[in-house]
Amino acid sequence: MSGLRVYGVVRAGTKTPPNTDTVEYGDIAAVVGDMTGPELTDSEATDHLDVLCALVTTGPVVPLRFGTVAPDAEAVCTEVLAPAHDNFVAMLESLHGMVELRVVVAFDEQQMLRDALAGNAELRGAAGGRGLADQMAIGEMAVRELTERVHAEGERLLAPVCEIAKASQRVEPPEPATDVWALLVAADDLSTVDQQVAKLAAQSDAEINYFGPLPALTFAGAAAPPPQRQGSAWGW
Amino acid sequence: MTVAHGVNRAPRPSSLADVLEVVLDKGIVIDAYVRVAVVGIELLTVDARIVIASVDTYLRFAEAVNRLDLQPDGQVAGLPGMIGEMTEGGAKNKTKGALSGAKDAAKEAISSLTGSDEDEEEERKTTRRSQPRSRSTSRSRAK
Repeated sequence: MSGLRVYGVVRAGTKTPPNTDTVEYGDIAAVVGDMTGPELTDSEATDHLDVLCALVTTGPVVPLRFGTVAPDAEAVCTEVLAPAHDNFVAMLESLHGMVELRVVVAFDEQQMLRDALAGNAELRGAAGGRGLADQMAIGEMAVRELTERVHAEGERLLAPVCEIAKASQRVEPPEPATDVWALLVAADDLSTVDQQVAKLAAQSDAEINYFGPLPALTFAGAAAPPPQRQGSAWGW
Repeated sequence: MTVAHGVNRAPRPSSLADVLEVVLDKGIVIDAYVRVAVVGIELLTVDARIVIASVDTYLRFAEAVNRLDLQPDGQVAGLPGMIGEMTEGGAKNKTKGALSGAKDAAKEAISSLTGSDEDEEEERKTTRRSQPRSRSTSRSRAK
């Protein structure tokens, strides 16, 4: 089984990690790797992130969707690089010197739920319902109340960090008592952001996990100017 | 890089669930691929998992609310499932059901399958979607 996995797009001439190759098209290049089998598994997903993380330390990279596969280099040129060349150039320009960071704020679920119950009379009144429909209603109400509190507290804590970032966005959390943010920051501002994250960790009992520099998986699309040709070239 | 108060910035998440959360369904797709394709999780699996995940989350919280309601403030005991999961901390606890989208629909990554052990947490279904020339297949790969 042959074929190429496509990781992302960089400026032509960028050094790429081991076991990857490039397909050049003018001033841009797609970073590709050999398909190791007919399936994409967890290790390929991890590898996708690893390659992108390695690339982001050497220059701007526009990540492509994990799972993007092509039969050969020619297909990469004609279907990925050529149709959106100008968009890629613009995105690479806007991502130059920028990195994505991820902040995960995990609140104490029990305490948050206790607060939610204390603050919501309707929820207190509904508690104890036994039928499935009642249970679902209670659960839904509890999750909604909890989420509101988590969001409010998360925004409060992250505000100083978001100030420094060029862009910030809440992303889907693994569970309701956790708030997860993606930040687009200038690499030059990394140590300032580190300090701010340390400060917010000191202000809260929440468990903070903090990652980066990551490729702009969340913000790549936002960095693209609207397509010039008729019909959209983008989807994500 | 170590900073004050022990908040290290790790280069990337280490748990598989978190890696998938970061990488699945993100990044550029160009419309009108012909020979290029985006391989993802089979749609049927995605739909079934979305429903199951939501029901489980709500029921888990309903049970938690009911137990909290019975206990006076500050004396919460006897929530073995939740406490066991919480001590693992933040994004690392619980099974994650991270789902990748189909090419034509923007499905969001939904989380929180509950109560599964470590083996289930590590097992992911990543399959080839229906392609014009081949049948769709579904396989599990255990780590």
